[in-house]
Amino acid sequence: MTELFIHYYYPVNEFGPAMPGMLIGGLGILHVFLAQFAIGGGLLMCWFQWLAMTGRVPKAREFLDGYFKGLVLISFVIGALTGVGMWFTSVQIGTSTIGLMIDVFHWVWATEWTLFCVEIIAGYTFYRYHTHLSDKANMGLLVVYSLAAWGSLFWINGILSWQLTPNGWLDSGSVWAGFFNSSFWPSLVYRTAVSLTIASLVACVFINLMKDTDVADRRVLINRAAQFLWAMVPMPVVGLWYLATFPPDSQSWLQGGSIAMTLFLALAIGASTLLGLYAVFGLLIRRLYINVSTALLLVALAFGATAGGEFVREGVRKPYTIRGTLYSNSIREGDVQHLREIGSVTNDPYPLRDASAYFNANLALGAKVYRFQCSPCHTLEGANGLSHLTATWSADQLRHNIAMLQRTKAFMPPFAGTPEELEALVFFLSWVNVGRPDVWPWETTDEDLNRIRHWLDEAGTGPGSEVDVYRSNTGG
Amino acid sequence: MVECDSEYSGNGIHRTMNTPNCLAALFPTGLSAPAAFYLVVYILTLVVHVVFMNYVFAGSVYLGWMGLRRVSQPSGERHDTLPAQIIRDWLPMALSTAITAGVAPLLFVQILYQHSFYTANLLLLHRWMAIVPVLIVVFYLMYLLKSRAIDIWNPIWRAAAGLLVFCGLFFVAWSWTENHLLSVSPQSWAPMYESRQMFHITPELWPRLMIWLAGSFPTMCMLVAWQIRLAPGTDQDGDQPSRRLGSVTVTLPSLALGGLILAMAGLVWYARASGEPVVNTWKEPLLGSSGRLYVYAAATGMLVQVIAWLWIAVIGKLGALPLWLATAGGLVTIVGVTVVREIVRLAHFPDLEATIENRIGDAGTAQGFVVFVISAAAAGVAIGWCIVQGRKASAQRVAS
Ligand code: HEC
Ligand code: HEM
Repeated sequence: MTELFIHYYYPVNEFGPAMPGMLIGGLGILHVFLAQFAIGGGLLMCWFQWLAMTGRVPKAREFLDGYFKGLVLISFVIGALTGVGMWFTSVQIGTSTIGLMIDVFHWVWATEWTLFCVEIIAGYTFYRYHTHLSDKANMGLLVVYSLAAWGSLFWINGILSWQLTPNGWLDSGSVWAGFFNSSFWPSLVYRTAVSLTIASLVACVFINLMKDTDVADRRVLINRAAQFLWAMVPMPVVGLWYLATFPPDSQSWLQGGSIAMTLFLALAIGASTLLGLYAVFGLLIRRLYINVSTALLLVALAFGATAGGEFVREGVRKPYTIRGTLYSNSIREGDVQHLREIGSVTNDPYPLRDASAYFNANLALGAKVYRFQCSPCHTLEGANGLSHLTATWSADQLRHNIAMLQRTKAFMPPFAGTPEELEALVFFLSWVNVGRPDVWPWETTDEDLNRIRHWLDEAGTGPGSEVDVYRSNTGG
Repeated sequence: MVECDSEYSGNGIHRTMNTPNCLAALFPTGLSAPAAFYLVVYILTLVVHVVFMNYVFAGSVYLGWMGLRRVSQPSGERHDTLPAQIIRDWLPMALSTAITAGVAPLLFVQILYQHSFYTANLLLLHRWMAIVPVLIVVFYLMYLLKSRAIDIWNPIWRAAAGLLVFCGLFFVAWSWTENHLLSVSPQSWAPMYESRQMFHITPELWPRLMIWLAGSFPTMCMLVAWQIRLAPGTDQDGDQPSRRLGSVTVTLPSLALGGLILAMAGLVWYARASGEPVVNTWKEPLLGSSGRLYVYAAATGMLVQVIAWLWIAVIGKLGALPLWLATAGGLVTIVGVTVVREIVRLAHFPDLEATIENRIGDAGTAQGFVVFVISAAAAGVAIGWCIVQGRKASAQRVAS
């Protein structure tokens, strides 16, 4: 236990009015979009290479030239670097989460890394030399590149889906039971379909930008590239299959339990539906020609759908980042009871950065508890600001609702500190709500503390909604 | 030395750990598996990162310097030295490789030193958030330097682009070094957090950077020399009939030897900056039975490199034998220095084994390792095949 608690605390950076989640959200979306472009793009190029080799589409070669250059210049550079950036940001805002993911899955990640290496080398070899290589060798390079790219999706997909549905891992501690979890396959199929879609839409943009082609050439190429959009047809079914594997409480967030998440899901579904309808009826059945602005618009829709989907994926895990194990505020489910006894910030070695702003030790304690337990999801006066949420609450209301935090809103973790810490937090929040006066009287009776203790016990240390279905025993 | 046998033959999980355990024996720090095993993998992957990072960094310095020297050249012309042509051509790919190669040690450093590494990352928040945009800019500038478009630029702008590449890379190297130093200085964490300082600049920082950066020159020169020697159309002695080889056998040895000398000066400076009490704490681990081998290896490697480069300068050819010597010496030096770097760091983590044992346990070590090995082997084959295709194609290109 001592060992564990030495390594529990990290310096908490606060990001002003923005929530840290927004940072990784934005970067994550860009990265996912580019990575999926790289995966689908590889497969699309294999197909065009075949069309070129077999003489079916004479201009396919020229298309490959430009498309691959785009892929290298965009995906190899920004895609790869935003991937590295994801590491750095994950460390910044989900330190304990990424740490635990590494502890469990490092060999899976190392395996994924071997595929990155293949991707880079195969990609650059094609990029540099394809004009001097035989068709067969080029095809080989593209196939190696695509397999590696799709393989990296395969491996990372297991880790990311495990965060939401770690079922088997919770029971047995087995890495493979965690990897092949219940949302693994639907998520993999879904993402593969998205990759094909994005690659196809981006191809339409590139085709429009090709030099030395007339409309007839471009129409042929666009019709071919659009074939990949058939992947959108099964997406509704796969999407439902995916949603069905979500834990019940996560499903309830999506069905209105959390309005923000419901809206993001609606955005994702709406954008995909529009796109799918246009793709199937316009591009595939009526074989319409699209110009560069339409193509760009479709890419933007796909980006919107990706953005919505990624927000949902990050959001539905609440109150956990790793279900049944680690709460969003880096507190392990199994440690809540212990922290309620010893105090959540008793061993926190980091002083407050603005200590002079607090006129007494109790107020400072409240600020520290806020920093450790609440600031991962809340700000005080900005996004999801506690001051806005609790402006009208009485002290007793605060005591009660924070002591029963996981029942106040099931996407919050249980409060994990002593009654004294909770009382200090209530003091701190009330003080912020009245405009941070220089001095402010605050009284706490034993009665108050006893009631808090009683509420804490009543709420228990588990999550608000029952997740025990996902854990036949709490070994973890 | 760690034994590879019976101790770990109890249950199933331990038995699967025999492979890691044997590998761990390669690296005699007195640690047992799994900690020693992760250290070995970390060091091996870091060595690969260092090799490519060296090419990129020293290459950018050389290109930047050439850009400055050519400021007086009229725009529209490109009178490059042979190394400059090659480096300019390969820099973006080398950067991709350096970054990708960096991902693996990034993974393992998080296993070994998770808490301190993350803490340093968090305290240097601004730096880590800036690195990705900086590298993106560096990347595109490298492509720009390669493109024909830049030839018509005003030479001053051209030189500025080259310098920016260097500055970006310097920023990245500086950040890694500062992060390293901060991660082994826990007493600085709370004060740094409280005062919102964005930098952790200590006397060790600059000499440490100097060791890495000066040390990157011999590696870069060795790699460029191979690129020249192996280029299709070069004869067996490394002569390039059609190009200006003469100056290459002056330039490359000078750069390599200059880098080696500066790196050694950096070592002395580093020791002085660290102060005697600190240096005394290194003595035991470094000169004891476990560390000595690596200190000697690093020193021998440097000496071999010096001999090899002098040899090349004297014969005026990129001969196979001296090049192989420079290569072997370079690799031995990098491995030696990397291990020594680790031994010094390990002194800060007396409870490393227990921490890793606690967090990962046996299960994590064994599971997935086999898949990784298979995948790494397959990747090796695939990469080898790609390189063969590339060689064939460049031969074709020269022929046509
Ligand atoms: C996992 C992220 C998370 C953590 C950690 C968290 N909250 Fe919340 N909290 C939320 C979300 C999301 C809401 C919903 C906001 C809304 O409804 O607009 C919320 C709402 C609230 C509300 C308003 C509830 C209502 O009924 O309107 C209060 C009060 C609150 N949180 C207090 C806290 C306190 C105090 C802490 C720290 C002890 C905390 N929260 C920690 C995510 C979190
Ligand atoms: C291309 C620009 C880069 C340069 C010039 C560079 C340079 C360096 C240097 C000088 C060190 C040694 C630090 C020290 O011991 O003082 C280092 C270490 C390291 N680098 Fe890089 N690096 C670059 C990019 C990257 C990237 C993008 C990654 C990650 C993907 C990375 C991963 C690492 C890791 C993990 C270490 C070891 C850190 C430690 O053990 O504490 N590097 N790098």
